[in-house]
Amino acid sequence: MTENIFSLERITYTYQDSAKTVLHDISLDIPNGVITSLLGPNGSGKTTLIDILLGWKKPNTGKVLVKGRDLSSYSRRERSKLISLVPQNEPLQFSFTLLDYVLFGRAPYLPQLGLPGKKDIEIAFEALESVGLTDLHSRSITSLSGGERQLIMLARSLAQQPEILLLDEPTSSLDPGNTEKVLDILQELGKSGLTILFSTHDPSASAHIAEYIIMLSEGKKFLADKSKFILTAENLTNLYGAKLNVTHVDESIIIYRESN
Amino acid sequence: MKNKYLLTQSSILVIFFLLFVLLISSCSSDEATKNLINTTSNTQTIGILETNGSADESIYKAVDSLGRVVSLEEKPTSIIIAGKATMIAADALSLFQEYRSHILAMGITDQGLGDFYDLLLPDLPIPERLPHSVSAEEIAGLNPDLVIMKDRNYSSVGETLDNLSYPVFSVNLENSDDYLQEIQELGKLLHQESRADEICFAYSSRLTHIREKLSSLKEMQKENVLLLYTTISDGITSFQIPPESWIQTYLVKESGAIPVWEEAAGSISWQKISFEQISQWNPDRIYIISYKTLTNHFMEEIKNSSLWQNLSAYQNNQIKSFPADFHNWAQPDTRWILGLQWLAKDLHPEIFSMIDIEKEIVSFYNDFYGITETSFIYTILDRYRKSLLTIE
Amino acid sequence: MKDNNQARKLKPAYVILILTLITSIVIAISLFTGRYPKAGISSPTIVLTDDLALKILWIIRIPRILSALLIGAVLASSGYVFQMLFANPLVEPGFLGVSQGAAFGAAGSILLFGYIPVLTQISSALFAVIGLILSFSLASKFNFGGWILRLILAGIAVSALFSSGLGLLKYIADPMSELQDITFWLLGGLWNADWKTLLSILFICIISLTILYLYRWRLNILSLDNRSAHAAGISPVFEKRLLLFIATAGTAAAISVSGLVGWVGLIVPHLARKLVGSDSRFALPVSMILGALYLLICDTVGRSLLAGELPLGILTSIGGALLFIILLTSRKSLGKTI
Repeated sequence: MTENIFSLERITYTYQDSAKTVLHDISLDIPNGVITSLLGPNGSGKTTLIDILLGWKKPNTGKVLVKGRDLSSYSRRERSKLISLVPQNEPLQFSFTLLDYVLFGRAPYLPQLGLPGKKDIEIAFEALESVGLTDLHSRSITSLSGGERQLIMLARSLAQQPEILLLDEPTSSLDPGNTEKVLDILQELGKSGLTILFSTHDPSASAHIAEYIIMLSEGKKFLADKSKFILTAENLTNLYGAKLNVTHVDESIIIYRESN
Repeated sequence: MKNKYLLTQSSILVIFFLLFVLLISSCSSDEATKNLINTTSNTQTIGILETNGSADESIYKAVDSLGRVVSLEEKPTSIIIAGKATMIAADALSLFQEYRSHILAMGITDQGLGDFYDLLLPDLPIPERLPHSVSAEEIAGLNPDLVIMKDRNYSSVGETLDNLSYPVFSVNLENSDDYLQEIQELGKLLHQESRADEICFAYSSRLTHIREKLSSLKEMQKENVLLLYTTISDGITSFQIPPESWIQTYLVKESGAIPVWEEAAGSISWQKISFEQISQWNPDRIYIISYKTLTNHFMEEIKNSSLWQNLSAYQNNQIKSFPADFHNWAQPDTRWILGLQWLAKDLHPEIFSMIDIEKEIVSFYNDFYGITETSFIYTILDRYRKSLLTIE
Repeated sequence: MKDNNQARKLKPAYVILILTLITSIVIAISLFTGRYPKAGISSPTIVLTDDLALKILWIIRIPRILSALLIGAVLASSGYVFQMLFANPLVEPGFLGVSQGAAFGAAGSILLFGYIPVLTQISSALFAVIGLILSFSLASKFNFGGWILRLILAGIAVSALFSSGLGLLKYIADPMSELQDITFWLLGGLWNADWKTLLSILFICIISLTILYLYRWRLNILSLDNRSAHAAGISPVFEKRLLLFIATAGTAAAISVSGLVGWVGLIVPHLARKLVGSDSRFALPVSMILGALYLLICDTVGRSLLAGELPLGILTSIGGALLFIILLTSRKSLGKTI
């Protein structure tokens, strides 16, 4: 069993039209089977990095290895059975039912013109179960609250039965209550051996569930290590450019702003 | 409940709007437009100013079909005839032989069958042929002293010319009364009253002859007639019926027959109808009119159609082309009287056995256009004969 | 117990069954409706015993009814697909210069080469696609407003371009006509729908309908973010282009026969969604049936009500406007679409 499920070697990404370089010569590894957090201020290149891990954007230089193989060598189907994405939000133009919406995640397992079958529906219900939305399965997604929306996108990704779950800022637009809910579910999922990578700008979220943290600043890898080592006042202050401090309460790590 | 209220409200709104539109479209017509122009500009004097109120021999003055008084101080020698349906106005003016040489510029008079003016005025140089949609500016630039147009052109071009002080004389000429009255007025304008009398007499004598012969015709003896204006566009043939107020409908009535389409006709212009509707009417006689081409193509299509074969008119060999020479005779052109004579004879051959259409053609061109040369006559007769087609 | 948040109100299978039933009834009525032997609906016995009526039935009415059904289904399904692929329920091919391009292409081809069905189809499809591409590239050059707004504005511009191009073509070719020739293209009509024209578009339309039908589940996923579709293992750009092209080609073929008939692609998908929910698995087939039904009703009314034919586009617009108002004023209509 490989130690690292993702291996990035010297990744650079520059936007074509604006010629702005978002990622500068990044090399990092993402460990297998644990929850990793991609931490950094706004604009540090987190989303772009996730796009590259997803295969949605191609880096200008460097290689992306997944399970030892080049990402681009995977077929679309193989890749989507391996990696799934929970986006930050999605425009909701049509009132699909929750069940239908989660079923969309079964696409990699169906032929191009195939329709979901009984087994797919079962799997979809399991996914709904794991986020606690089974009762609402026949409701329209447009009737969901913000927190519920995040959960339903998560359920869809779970229906995809991936080995790797990528989440793009899953809690950034949620209130504390919903944030807690989502993080708890992720923690639960992490126990089953799923590799989870989520990006966030909130160090508390990282502190809460991440075993491994990658700090990203201005498109460069700032630090990467186990969370217990990396979450120090000094590191956080340097990352955010604001005076931050860290303390431990019970088993949890609390981050707070230091007042003068 | 609020939903239902809004729903009913919106539906009512839409329905009222539609009714409103239907109302407007059924009311409007040439007549209405004419009246509108009439009332807003009654007896308004335009053109060069009159010197005093009393009638002056040197003034050329008359009332046109829109009720406008047109007045000229001098004899017009640079006349422009233009706009849509130029040929109708041109053919009317050309009845006054002397004025043919005073035509400065003319619109297109070839509908598709040929240009009468190639024959009528071969020597006189008609310099410019103006397009149908000619602008007032263009006409004004040629500096005419009189412009004659079909009244339909007034709102688009005529009015502007009036405002620029170019005298515009409008003609309608959609039925026999129009012809008799308007030719008189035109005669007044051109100081050609005696010639106008001649022309009117030529029309009314022919007309009276027909009316007298048909006076004893009983209503139930009248046949059902259908006139179809046939065109082909985008590869599709379509059939259209004329409005009630147009000369085509008038011709059928005057020749002692019943126009089956009267109730269904539109009020403003040609209206397309389907074959189903034609078969529902199942008229005794069908006449095919084509203005731009001869009717050969259409007659061929009809002859080979398994649908048309079921109509009584087809089975009785009563589907015919309406004749033409340079122009089809079923339109508000000077030749309408030939159309009437031909139709009356075709419908009632025994009553009109003494009429010989070819002789009538000769006398028409003689009386109306003063043409007697045999080569000319021969050309016209040849065209006439070629235009006659029947499905047998 | 009424849950207003229920997305799917009626069982799709039932809806499809009922709609098919209704459509069959309307077809049966349409067969005996017209102007002969009398205006309106005639009794079947009379029609079936009259020689001419039978001929009219076979030569005029049946191909026309079939054309209305086919074209209605194509326009509705294309509208539906456009709405899914642009993730906005307020688009239809007529908004993006597709329909106008098709009309322009068809009219131009007929003007240049005469009425040769194959050429007309190709020209129609070509200019429909050009219309779409133009709308796209124009929209990407605007620099204000959201994507959908830009797209619709660009579509308006391109539609106007092709409509006026059509007018110009006709005017230059035949400056003495009374503009009546253009009304066919701009207002639409099926009075020339016979067996020949039906057969000329049958192939493309059936293919278009079939392919779109096969992709009906996939359409849902294509309505999501491109990135999410990619994550689910789909190549969104390629598949979207493919489906757009197929929908456009079907629309172009339909319009080359019927002229510009609008509103069908906009309204029918909405109605379908209201009946069976937003899942394209059901909403697309329902759209097809509803579109066929709607166009058949409009055409039958248009050719039977008065002696003169009412242009089809006018009738679909009246119905469309009415239904649109109803949809807009009902509570749970378009959600957060604009």
